[in-house]
Amino acid sequence: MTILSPETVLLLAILIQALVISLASSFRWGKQQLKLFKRYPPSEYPKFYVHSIKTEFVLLVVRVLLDLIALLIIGYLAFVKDIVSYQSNVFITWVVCTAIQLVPSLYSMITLQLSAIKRRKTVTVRTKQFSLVSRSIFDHISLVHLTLLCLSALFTLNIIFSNTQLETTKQIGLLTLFIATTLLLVHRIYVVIYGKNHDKLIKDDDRVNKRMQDVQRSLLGIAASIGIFALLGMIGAKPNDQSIWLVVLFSIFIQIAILNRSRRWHAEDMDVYRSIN
Amino acid sequence: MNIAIDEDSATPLYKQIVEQIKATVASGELAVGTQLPSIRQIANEAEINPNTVAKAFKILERDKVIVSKGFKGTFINSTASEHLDENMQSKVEQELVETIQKLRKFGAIDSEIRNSFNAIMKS
Repeated sequence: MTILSPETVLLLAILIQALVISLASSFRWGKQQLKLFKRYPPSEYPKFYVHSIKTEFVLLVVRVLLDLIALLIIGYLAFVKDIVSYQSNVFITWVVCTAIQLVPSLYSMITLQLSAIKRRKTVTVRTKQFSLVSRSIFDHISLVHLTLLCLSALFTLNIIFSNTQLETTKQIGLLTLFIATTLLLVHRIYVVIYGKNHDKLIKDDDRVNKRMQDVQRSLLGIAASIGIFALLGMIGAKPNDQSIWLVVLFSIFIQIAILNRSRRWHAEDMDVYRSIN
Repeated sequence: MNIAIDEDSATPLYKQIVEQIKATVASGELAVGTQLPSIRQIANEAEINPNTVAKAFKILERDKVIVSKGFKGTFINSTASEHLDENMQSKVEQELVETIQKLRKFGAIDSEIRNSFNAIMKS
């Protein structure tokens, strides 16, 4: 007995995604911005805001409006145009909806980047600082995990090129997109670790935290793109072939999970467990 | 552990880097065997010319404060603390004073010494 039809599941998935990305995250963004305005007023922190308070509010309102427009477009496409039907190309539908929803985030990212550039130009620091601590990618990811990531990327390429049902042009298209996405994120990691300081005012701890966060996000992005392109590479493949790849992927996942759990945790300072006698 | 360099200072940037790295080694903040960041990392972070950092590293290596291990990177030398007082500039100045005095004794005039010095340095 089917409780939810695949079409209903697809509609629910797209609507939930719309609510999470265009409503919840927009609300979160706006709330945090207002909290920042209240806690760190532009009159007292002019170097943080760069623009006037009026412009800052306009930027915030535009972001919220873009999210609402995205939500309305998806609602219109789903309920009026009925694009979420089992007969239509499910994947294309999802890509279109996601692209519409990513516009507001992209807008915020660009405005923040422009603000950072403006701040960089206005803040002139004659005393330059640099850290004497050598940084490397291995501060953020272990050699084992990096090797696994590289092997997974190769595995994804193997999935794409072993799928005989996929036309050569599509295979090359996927390969190009995969390489471009990965290189973009690898470049981002390089810039974050070895590149210029965009904010000369922030202190060391904040800089380290931001660097950690940015590198981890990019690494997660690479992992996600590997997963997405592996799934895309399976499109049209025979069900048995798809099962094989999925079994291999799940097997790797289970191996990593169990391997990570194969050591009993103990405190660094074991003296706390010593017998008193 | 940070190093601050002042663009408005009369001391050249490379010299500020050399002096401050030596000071951190002397204070024990930089232990023997510690890896230093790459020239590019420092140049990018401080927004200075990589050649300036390379010049500072070259001087530190000559003074045996740091040692370059090819692809592995640059490290604080095991005998760094013994070479912190190395001052090549005063040695060079001392040698030059002696040489100039000797040349003047031979009858060379200042412009001849200066021109010869410049020609040799350019060659």
